[in-house]
Amino acid sequence: MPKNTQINSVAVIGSGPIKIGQAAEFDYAGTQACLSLKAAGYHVILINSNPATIMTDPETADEVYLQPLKLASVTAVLEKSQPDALLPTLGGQTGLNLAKALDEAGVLSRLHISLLGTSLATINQAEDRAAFKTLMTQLQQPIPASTTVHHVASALTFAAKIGYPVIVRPAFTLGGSGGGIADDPTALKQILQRGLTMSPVNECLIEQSIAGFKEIEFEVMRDNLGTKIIVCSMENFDPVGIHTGDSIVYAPAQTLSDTELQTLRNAALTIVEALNIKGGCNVQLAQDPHSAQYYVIEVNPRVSRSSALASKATGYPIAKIAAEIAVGMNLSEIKNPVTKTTYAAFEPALDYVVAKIPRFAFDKFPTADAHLGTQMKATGEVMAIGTTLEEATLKAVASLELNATVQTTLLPLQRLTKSQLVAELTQPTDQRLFYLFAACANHWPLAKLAELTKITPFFLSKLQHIMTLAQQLQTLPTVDNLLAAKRYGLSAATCAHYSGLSTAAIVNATAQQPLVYKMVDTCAGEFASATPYFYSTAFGTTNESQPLGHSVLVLGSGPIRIGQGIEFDYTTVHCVKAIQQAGYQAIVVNNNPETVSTDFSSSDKLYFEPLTLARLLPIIQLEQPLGVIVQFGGQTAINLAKQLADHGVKILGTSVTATDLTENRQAFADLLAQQHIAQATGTTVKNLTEAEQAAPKIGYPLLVRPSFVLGGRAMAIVHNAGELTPVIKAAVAAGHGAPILMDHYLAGQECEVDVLADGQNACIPGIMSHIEGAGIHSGDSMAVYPPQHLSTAVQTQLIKIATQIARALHCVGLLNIQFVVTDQVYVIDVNPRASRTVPFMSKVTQLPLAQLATRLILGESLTTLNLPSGLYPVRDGVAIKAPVFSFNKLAQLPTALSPEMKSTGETIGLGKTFDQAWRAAITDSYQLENWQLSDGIVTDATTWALPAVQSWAQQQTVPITVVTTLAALQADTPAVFFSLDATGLAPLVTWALNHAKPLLTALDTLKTLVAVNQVPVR
Amino acid sequence: MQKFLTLADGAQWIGTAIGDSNRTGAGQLVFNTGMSGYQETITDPSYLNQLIAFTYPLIGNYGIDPSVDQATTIGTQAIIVHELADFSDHYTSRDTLAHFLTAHHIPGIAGIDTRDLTTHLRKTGSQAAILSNQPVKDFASEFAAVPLKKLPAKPLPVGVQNGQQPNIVVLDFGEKQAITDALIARGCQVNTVPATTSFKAIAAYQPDGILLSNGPGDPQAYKTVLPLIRQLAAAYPLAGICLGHQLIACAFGAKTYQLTFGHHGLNHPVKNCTTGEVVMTAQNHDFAVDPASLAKTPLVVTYTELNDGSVEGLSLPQQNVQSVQFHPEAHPGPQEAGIFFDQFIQMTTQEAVANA
Repeated sequence: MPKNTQINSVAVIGSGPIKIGQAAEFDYAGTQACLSLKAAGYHVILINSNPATIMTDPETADEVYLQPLKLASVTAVLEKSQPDALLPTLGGQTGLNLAKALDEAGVLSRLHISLLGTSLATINQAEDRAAFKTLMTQLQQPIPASTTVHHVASALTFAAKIGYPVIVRPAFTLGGSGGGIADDPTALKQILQRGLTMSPVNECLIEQSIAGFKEIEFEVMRDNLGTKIIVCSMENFDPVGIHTGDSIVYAPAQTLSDTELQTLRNAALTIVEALNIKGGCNVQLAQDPHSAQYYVIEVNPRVSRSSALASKATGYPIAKIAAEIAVGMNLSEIKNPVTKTTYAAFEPALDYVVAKIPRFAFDKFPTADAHLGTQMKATGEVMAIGTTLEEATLKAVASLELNATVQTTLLPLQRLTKSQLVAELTQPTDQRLFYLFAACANHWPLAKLAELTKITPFFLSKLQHIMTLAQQLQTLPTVDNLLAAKRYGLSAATCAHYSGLSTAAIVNATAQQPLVYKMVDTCAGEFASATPYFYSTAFGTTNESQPLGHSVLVLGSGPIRIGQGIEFDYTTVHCVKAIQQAGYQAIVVNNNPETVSTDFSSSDKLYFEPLTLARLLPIIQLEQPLGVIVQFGGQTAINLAKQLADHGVKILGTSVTATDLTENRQAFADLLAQQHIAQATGTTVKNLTEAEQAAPKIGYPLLVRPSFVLGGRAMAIVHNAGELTPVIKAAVAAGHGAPILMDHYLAGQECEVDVLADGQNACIPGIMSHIEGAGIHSGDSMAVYPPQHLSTAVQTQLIKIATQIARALHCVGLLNIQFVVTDQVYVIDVNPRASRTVPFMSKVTQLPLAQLATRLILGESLTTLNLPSGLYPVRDGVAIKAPVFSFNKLAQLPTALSPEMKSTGETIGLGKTFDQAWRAAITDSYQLENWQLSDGIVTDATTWALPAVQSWAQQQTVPITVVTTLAALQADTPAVFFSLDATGLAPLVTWALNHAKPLLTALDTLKTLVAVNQVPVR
Repeated sequence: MQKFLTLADGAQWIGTAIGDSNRTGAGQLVFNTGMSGYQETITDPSYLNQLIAFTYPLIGNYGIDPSVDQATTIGTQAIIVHELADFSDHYTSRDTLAHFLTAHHIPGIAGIDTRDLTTHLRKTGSQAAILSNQPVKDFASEFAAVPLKKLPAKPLPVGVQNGQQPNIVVLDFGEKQAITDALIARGCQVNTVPATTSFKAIAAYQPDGILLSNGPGDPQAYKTVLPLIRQLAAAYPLAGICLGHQLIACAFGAKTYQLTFGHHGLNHPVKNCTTGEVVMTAQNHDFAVDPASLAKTPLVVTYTELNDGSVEGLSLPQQNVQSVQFHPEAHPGPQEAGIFFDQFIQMTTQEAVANA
């Protein structure tokens, strides 16, 4: 079938701000789909409120609306843009829910907008529990028996019927908390009573337990003719019971016989056929490890995190093909974009193993509950490719950027007793892989590990093999053993640790077996391909990657974490574009399967590799790039700059010396002093003793933070000597030996600027002022452009200081400077790299900052780019960047905003006035679009007792309820919840999150909300 | 222990011996891109006297399940893997692949860069190879010195009528067990007879339909069976799979040719020429029917391979003859093409009704 000629314009809804469970994969999918629709000649209209996305760039779509993803705002966009059709399956659950809402509200029929791809009826059938159950029964596909209950008695009857164990899942509780597995009626009564109490709707789901089954996923494509293919099978290392987003996943399936694989495949195809899917679909199944019994777990009739992973794992671009199917094309007409000679109607054959490991934020939040279950907690993930399961696993571990000791030893930091280790293995956290290595190191028998973890013994045997390879280096560090270790992916650092030899000696001893690069070609070498997509292996002899020549290498930012998000993938992609425009070949190294930068068509060559020195040097040696750009890959890339430079690699842009200078407290203080720039008094310390000596000299309150870390990790305000010890200890632990910065804490208006510099001059695209004052991490603050209350004199001074610093450091490219304005302007932080606000400012000023910075890095000047020195002319209107939190996914995380960053994503609010921009910004961030003063504020006694709250509240007329007992709360209250309780278990916070109520956790946010609402809406 | 894989063009890979380390293997070297079903592949009689290189790098992960063997003896000369699983765990497994190979006296090599080998074969075409314990000095003489394997001769079945309908006789050129299994699963009675069986002896089974099985080698080597096939086609509904398909083509005057490196995998898209529908199929063949040669025959192309356009299915209008180049019986691989058996059975029952 040729493409649909009945339609000319297509609207695409994005997934909005990054949240746990809905992250960068939708930028990748959306971008790919929009570009392919554009290429097919359609006029593409895009709606998304997340500024830090490539899909919202003017090049991706013909019309881009940075608007909140709510029924009213999206309706307004559709009314204005009048699209012929809407493609709803690319924006995650947010996009789907909006499409459903638009349909139910009659907007689609009123505006004559047709829906493309999989129908809403299908989507409902897949997502509605009862409808899905009915369909599976019709198709004779087994699903675990389940029912919802409101009373203990009905649960007991049901469990007696289906047999124990059963799983109890309370409805709508924070992080799925309050549930559990009951082995008998006594346990069921106990768990259920707790679950019913915790559930805000007094409801629990009782489900037949299939915990311990193998969890298998298929990514299926189906076209308009009914042709179906499986793009990829994936097998979870962690058995059923842990959310697949939190599981280690391998592709293809590793431990299923062909008989099992075909049975599950047939089930997946049958379901996809019955649902009449047109596009991509994810099918999750469970296979009993001890019999032929299987169950269907879930079907996602849209692109997903798994489809992004499958695309990167196979090279098959699922979202692109899904978009083409949506406009009427069929798989047998679409060329395989990898081979360019074969067709999309085929199933990729892999000749390597892919490992995905999730990345969690628990290293930043040690008090949050790290236990894994059916509710996803990971913020991001890494993927690695190898020719053995061991190699893929270890490359993925190396990509995680965890504690260096853990990554080297493969063992947890704490030594545990036997019973503690048993507990860690049976009640998994994000660290279980390392506890398994520890158990292997202690020679725990495989059968015991399998019994404790229910992990398939095949996988456990691979971990044992890794540990055996490491431990045999302790006793016999022979060249043969070193070569074997390298072949299976053990890093030189790990080999050095276990053998006692130096890393250099290991590298020399194993030089005869260099890393070689293999192509990801979708067809296991059967057809000639020219995909510029490579991975390394030490278990191979022939290198397939031919150096590009005249190239520049760009380091990506690795997995998405709190503090280092999609913004840095955005800047990486822009850097690549500018390199290409300047006439060079752009090479990307990155390991995040969710993102646009790891789409092999984003650059001239992609190396899907860990961002470590050991993996980068051979690539650089092979490619001989003109230089390496480290400014756009966040702290990950910056942290590699010095090591690379030490090995003779040319770092382009701001020098490594200048970068180091900004991180070196004393040297930087001297520089600012020379320039007569005010800064908070402070010093650097290395340990508690030094900190205790320095503190009184600087004077409390103090701001304490380790250098060389991201997202304000282990950053804290210390008000008195009593608070100092734990804070310094945490900072020492987080900083890996880097000095700790101690500054006098300045209360005032916080501002920041991104600066474009060419070594001589500086252009400041704009000034952002923060709603929340200093003491709250800038990533969690709402940032306003242009500043609303800064005098011209202060603004002039900010520009002058920024220019001075850029010049003094001979910065080339981007830098970010943060200020506090009190009686004068103080510099509080300088980062000589692209910052989190670059995408926001790029969208606001319509200057592609990362691209401009790249051209400066490649030798152009501000003058040749037609950029002024000083402040760039201020744009009309107001733009506000607002943080988005995933508190409802992370139980026991302290929610009060602090110097440690907590938000997972951001949204943008645009308006002619501050009020308009504010209302748009708080819609997708704090969900406060309908709040008005009369709806009131609900707070707790702890918060109410704070003097700052008291002094503000006394002047307010807004109704404030101070809650002493949760029983008094109404589930339908329209009030905004406000708590500054800094513990992780604040009852009011838990209640608000369980009931999906808007929650503010900083006083300045609340103040602004109230102030805006006091002004009558015009 | 070292093992040497030497190709006719002189290319050599050195790895570690697996399986029966005393044996030398020699024959045509082919690569297989399937990611599952190593046991079914290794026991597939169509691989007689070939060396199988697996492109998927981990082979042996789920051990050996005796119930999925495609034949009782193994015809392959040797197997080539990147890594052989030394641990396997599966509830159906009764053995490790390593021990299974040794027990069946199959030599093998592990630890080589199988992607390098695959791309070499893709560029040069499949070719003769020797797997040996010593470097090869004189390829031709050493190749000739390795004895060829033969498929075991099976006796004529007793042919008990169990009342199941239809009654199918499978002409066995090296049949995969899955073909019989697929027919039995669909309610057929199956008698598998040697390919050398006479028309009369076949007729004695009172078959409702005949199926020509898959089998090894060049279809040109089976010229003597072509008259029998024409005789069978005139008398019974006739189906052919893989080699059986090629022989039907030859019997009606078509020609076959050798593919550069064959089709050996589980991901081959095949297009139905009538409906345009595309299904994924398992394939294992080095020869194909020459489409140009069909012009002078009564045969009609029913399926083509989407990527290289090669002939994947034929039928004879007015006669109940249909054949496919791919493997509808799967094992290993996707089972969507299993509908071929349903169509064949339908053909036999229609014929039975017509003859009633």
